[in-house]
Amino acid sequence: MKKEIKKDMKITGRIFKWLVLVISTIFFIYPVIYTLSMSFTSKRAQYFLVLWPLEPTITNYIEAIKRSNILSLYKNSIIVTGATVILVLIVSSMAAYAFARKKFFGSNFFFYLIFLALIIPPISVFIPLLVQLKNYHLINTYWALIFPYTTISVPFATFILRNFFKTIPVEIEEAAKIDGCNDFQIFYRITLPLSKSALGAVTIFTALAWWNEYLFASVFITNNKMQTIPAGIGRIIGTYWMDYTLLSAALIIALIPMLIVYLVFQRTFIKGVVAGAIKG
Amino acid sequence: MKKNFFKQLKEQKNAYLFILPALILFFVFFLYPLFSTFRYSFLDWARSVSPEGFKGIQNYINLFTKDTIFRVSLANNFKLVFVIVLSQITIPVFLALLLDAKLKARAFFRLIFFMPAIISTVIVAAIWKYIFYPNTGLISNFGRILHLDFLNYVWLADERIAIYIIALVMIWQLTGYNMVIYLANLQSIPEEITEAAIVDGANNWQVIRKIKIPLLRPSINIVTTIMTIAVFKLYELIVFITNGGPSHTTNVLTFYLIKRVTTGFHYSYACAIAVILTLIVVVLTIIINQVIFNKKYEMDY
Repeated sequence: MKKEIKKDMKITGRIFKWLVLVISTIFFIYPVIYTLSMSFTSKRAQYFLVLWPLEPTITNYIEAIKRSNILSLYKNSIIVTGATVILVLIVSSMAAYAFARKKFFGSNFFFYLIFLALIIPPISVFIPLLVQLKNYHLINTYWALIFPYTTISVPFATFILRNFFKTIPVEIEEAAKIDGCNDFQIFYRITLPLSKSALGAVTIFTALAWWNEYLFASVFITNNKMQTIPAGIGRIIGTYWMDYTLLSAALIIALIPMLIVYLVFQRTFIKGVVAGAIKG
Repeated sequence: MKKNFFKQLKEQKNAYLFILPALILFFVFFLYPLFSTFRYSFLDWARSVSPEGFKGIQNYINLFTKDTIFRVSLANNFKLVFVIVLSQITIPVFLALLLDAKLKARAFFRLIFFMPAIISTVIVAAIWKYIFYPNTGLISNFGRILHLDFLNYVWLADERIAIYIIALVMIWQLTGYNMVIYLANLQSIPEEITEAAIVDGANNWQVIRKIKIPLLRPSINIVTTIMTIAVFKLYELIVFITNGGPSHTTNVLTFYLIKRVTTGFHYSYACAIAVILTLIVVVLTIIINQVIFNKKYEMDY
């Protein structure tokens, strides 16, 4: 008798669990599916669109590519994000190495500065940055984004990499020192190759954050041809809002690169994001 | 002795070389502008290429005494902090607990739930605005097909509803992300602990309530912090979904600050907002971590 009740509860529990999971799945994926269907639906059929494309067509994509510069935005985003990631990796791994392995005058002070940067939101430097970038004649160049992006990412990346470098046994480096390696050789030949997983995590959360960044991107680069995807798509939304089937094709084109990277590298991707969240 | 000193200096020289690039970037593009924000906030600077004199704390006085939009924005930020933090220490915990149990499809659900977090917020905003758009959007389409006329409504123009739509979109974007954080935390709990409890006669619910949830404390702390910061960073959703309206009911600080720069060129006034915003975020971060969660920072220096 008691066993039966327990069994019943187990079955209800399982039904409830799957119900929640299915409803959540629909909630999270439906808006994207809807936009995808919209992008393949003809303009006059969109009023009845609920799930699958009505009067399927690829005109929206052809029109979106022809009438907006969405494809050329890819190039800008790749350059800005790529350069930022490379700079962040170089600059922060060097700094992290010093903090992990060297005792030097002011090391505590500099490390506290990093902590400071971790809790101050980027908006707090926005206006002077705009003024400075104008003075340096960097507005409307890729550097207007690469420098601020790199600077904002470096403290956090340094923090993560320093913690990782500390887990590498010092003996390995000392052995290399006896063999005649200098600091730079040790760093380049031993520490970095041993830190691929941490460098991978830094790459992922840096790339994800800046690939999608809008505020700086829309103000520091106003030239349409130089804009990154978020800034460009922001402009395209303004222009084609009344033509939503075309716009949804542009939205899909804009989100596809990151989606592919996500689907291919999902494990590394999620791990990288968790590493990014937890150590902060 | 002397040799030792030089050796140390040489050692230090390399250390400085290693941190030099980071320091240069940090000073030029972070510390100096941070200081400038503070300085500008005391100046008289609007609609001109350079500051036109000293204004003292007048900008701050105006903010708190004359500027109703600022006060509304501040209140909206706190309202959203409440809704978002509350939702994000419950819904994703619940989902993580469901996925933590032995489940073959875990990877699939994690993939789906996390996906919104990789989409640019600008795109997210456009998608959701259209879902709530009157006459042609998804919800009104449902209304038309099911003959439920009340669904065809100006959702985003309703002063009582608009801000909760913003909250809903944030929940859509952030739940999967936070769930992944909780899940990582849950999976780091050694199986021996839960097994021992089950051997001692604890049921599933007791294991969750007495063991798993207390052990989730570190990730609840992290999520509370990240979500509070995320709400004060909120910008794109407001720009593209409601543009601050209807009648400022979705105005938030970051949005208001940028509006002051791009439409009025009120540099020093916007800087005063930035200073207040920064102080709020820093103080809240400290309160959350030190007072509420009583976190001990382990500095291994």
